Amino acid sequence: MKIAIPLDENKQDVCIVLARTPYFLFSEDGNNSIVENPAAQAHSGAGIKAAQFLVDNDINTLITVRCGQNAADVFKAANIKIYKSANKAAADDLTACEEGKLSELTDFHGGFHGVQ
Amino acid sequence: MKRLLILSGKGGTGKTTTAAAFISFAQAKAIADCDVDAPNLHLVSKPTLKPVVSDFLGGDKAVIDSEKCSNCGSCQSFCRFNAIEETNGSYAVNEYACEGCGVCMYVCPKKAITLHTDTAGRKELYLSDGVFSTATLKMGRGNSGKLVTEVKLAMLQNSPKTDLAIIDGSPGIGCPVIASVSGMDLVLIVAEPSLSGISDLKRLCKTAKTFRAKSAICVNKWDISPENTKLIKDFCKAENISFVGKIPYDKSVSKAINKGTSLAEIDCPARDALKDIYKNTIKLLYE
Repeated sequence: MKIAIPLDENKQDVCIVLARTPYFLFSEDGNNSIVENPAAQAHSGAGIKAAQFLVDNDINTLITVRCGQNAADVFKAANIKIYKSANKAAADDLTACEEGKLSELTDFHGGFHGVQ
Repeated sequence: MKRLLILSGKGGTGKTTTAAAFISFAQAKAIADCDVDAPNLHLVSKPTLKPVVSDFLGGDKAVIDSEKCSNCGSCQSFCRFNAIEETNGSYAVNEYACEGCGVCMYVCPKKAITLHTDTAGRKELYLSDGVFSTATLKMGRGNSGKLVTEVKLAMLQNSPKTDLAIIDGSPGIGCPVIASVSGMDLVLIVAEPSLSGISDLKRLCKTAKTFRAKSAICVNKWDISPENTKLIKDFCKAENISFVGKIPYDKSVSKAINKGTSLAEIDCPARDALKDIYKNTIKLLYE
């Protein structure tokens, strides 16, 4: 199983945003790696670009604080499970996930661009 | 390094005044102004050196080559943003309306339209024994959150080894505010004891909570409405948010600000109150 978590500039804490997070933490069978998020500097459509990047990296599980509708549609099509982050440190979220203590994220925000 | 962000929800409550005073109290060496729509921290923090200036690149904008254009009007009929304007039979792009989608380029039979990267703002970096990062977004540009992120990163990347970074945020709860919240250790909210002040404060607290930011609240000009100040205190209690102090209405404040000096430099009741708030905030940062 390969898990992805958006990671802050300090490379330890979960980043509160998904699409423009500076890094992603990948965790696969106990091996962790940190990669730069290629969507962070996108002019628009960063959510979809970040989601595509994660799909291309063959993740099965995503742990995040928030997720937009556009990105959620991509994850759904790729059968990726999304869990809600419950900790400040990404390492604690990984442990909680392995212990089955994280709940699934079901609330996706659609954004308010031009409409309320 | 601890990172302190100062926000307000409502505009004009005293964010920048508070930030400028805090910078002075702390002799802060890492400073950023994330209010890219209307930056003004430089007016009171008065950097003396010339800044390193760079362009902020936003999205694409369409440009019509009038030499190649046959004035067929196809671009105008396909543009869903009404960004193509016709004057005496010839067509041009209104840069404020263009969203850079590229439909006009696609439908143009003469290949007269190209997309160009838009310079959407200007970044300024003041480097001395510390760093001050600021930027100005151009009118009608929509990448404010991205620019805020760049301003913050520029501060972090150029910061000397120091204990505290102070970041002045923008009013509201929109994209630039959300972009400024990530990676902060504490958000200090400067509230105004008025009906709209309380409403905007509540909206900001909800936003901060959604993004899991630790918050603290202080009230500026508390004595213009002790009743509303009490409502804010009650709100803090109910929401379990630290109340770090209140500043009295003080005419010396606007005098100091209009002279471009930080409140920290003049002896007045508002300064004393701010100093207490500063001490409480720092204590909270290290808890």
